[in-house]
Amino acid sequence: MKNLTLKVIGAVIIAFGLAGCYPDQLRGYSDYDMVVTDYDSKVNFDTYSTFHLPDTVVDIIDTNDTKIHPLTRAQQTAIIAEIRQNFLDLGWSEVDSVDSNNLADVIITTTAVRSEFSVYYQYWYSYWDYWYGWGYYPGYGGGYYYPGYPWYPGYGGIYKEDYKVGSIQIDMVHPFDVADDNEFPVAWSANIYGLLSSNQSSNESRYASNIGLAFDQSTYLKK
Amino acid sequence: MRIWIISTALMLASIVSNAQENFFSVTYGMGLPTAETADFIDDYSWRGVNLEWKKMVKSNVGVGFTTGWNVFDDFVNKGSYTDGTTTYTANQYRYINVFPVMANVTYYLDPDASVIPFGTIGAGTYRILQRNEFGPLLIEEKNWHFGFYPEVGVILPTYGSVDFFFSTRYNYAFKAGDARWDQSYLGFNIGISYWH
Repeated sequence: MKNLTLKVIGAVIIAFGLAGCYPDQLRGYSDYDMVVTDYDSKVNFDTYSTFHLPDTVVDIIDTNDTKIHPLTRAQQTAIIAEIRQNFLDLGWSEVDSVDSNNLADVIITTTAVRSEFSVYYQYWYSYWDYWYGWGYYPGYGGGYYYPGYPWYPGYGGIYKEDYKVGSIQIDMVHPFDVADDNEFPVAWSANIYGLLSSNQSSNESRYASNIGLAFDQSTYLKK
Repeated sequence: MRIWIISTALMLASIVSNAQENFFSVTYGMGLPTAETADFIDDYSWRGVNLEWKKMVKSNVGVGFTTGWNVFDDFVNKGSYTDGTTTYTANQYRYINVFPVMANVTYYLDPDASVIPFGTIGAGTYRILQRNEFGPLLIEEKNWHFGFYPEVGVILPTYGSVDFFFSTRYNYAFKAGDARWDQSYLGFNIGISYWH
C-alpha cells in the first residue's frame, strides 16, 4: 500500500511539475506591447538642447503584402506630433528648418516597420503553449523563448493564425560627431513593438501611449 | 486546479486511510512570498495543497516525507527592467509554481492531549517553475533547488476518524541552476490528518 501511495504521489508531482499552472492567460493587444530604449553612455545629453524632426516616417513594409497598407499621411503626422510633443515637454527646443546658420544639436529620425507572420497553435494542452517575439535580448537573466513556435505533431490539433506586427523606431543622431566610417552616431534610440489590431484608432492610441513611455523611461533626456 | 486538488486529496486519503502506525495529512496551502520572492511576486497565494505521510518511530516522533504545490501569480502594469543602458517596459504576467519534495521529522508534544502542538524540520528539494510573460517575451526558469523548512502547528483531535490540522511553514529554497535568487515563502496550511 505504501508503495502504491508513493507511486501515486510521484505521478502527481511529475504531472504537475512538468506543466505548472498559469492562470489568467487571456491577453489583450496591449499586453504584447514592449518599449525598449537605449543610449550611448559616452554622450553627455546636457550638451544638447535643440532638435530637428523631419516630418516623414520612413515606412518599411513588404510591398507585395496586400494585407499591410502604407502609413497614411495623417498617421505619420500623428506619430511625428507625439514625438515632438514629448521632446518639448522635456524642455527641448525645436529647430523647424535647418541650414548652415541654423543648426540643431540632434536630428530625430522615425522609422516604421511592419510585417506579418504565422503562429502555429497546438490545442492538446490546457492553454495555448506558444509564444512569439522579435528577438533575443542579451543580458536579461533567465531563459529565452524566441520566436518559439512549438510544433509537436501527434500531440493533437494544430492550427495556424496570422499576426501583423509593427514597430516604430525613433533615433537621435548627432550629426557633428560623424565617425571615421561616415556613419552618424546614435545618441539615443527607442523601439516600440506591438501587434497591429484591425482597429486603427486602438493602434494609434497605443502608439501614443507607448511613445510617451519611451520618453518617460529616458529620464536623462530631461532638460 | 481546484478539481485537481480535491480529487488528488480524496484519492490519496482513500489509499492510506487503512495504513497502520502512520500519520497522514492533506492540507489546503496558502503562501505569503518573502524576501526576493516577494520582490518578484508580492501577491498572496490562495492556490496550494500539501500532502504528508509519516511513519511513527516513537509515540511522539514521526519520520516521513511531504510534497505539495503552491502557485503564485502577479500582474505588473508596464513594468520596467533596466540592463546597462537599455530599458525594457511591458506588461508583465509573473508566475511561480513550487513543488516541494521533502523528507522530514516531527516531534509531537503530547499525542494524547486535546490540543497537540508539534514542530517539524524538513529538507529536500523544491521544483520551482518561475515565469515572466514580459510583453512579447517569455522568460522562464525551471530548476530543482535544495531547500529546507521549519514548521510549527497544532492538531486538534476530534476523536473521530480524522483530526484538524493547522500549521505554518517557512519554505526556503537556495538558488540553483539559472535561478537568479533564493526563493522563500511562508506557508499557511489548514486541513485534516489521520493518525492511527
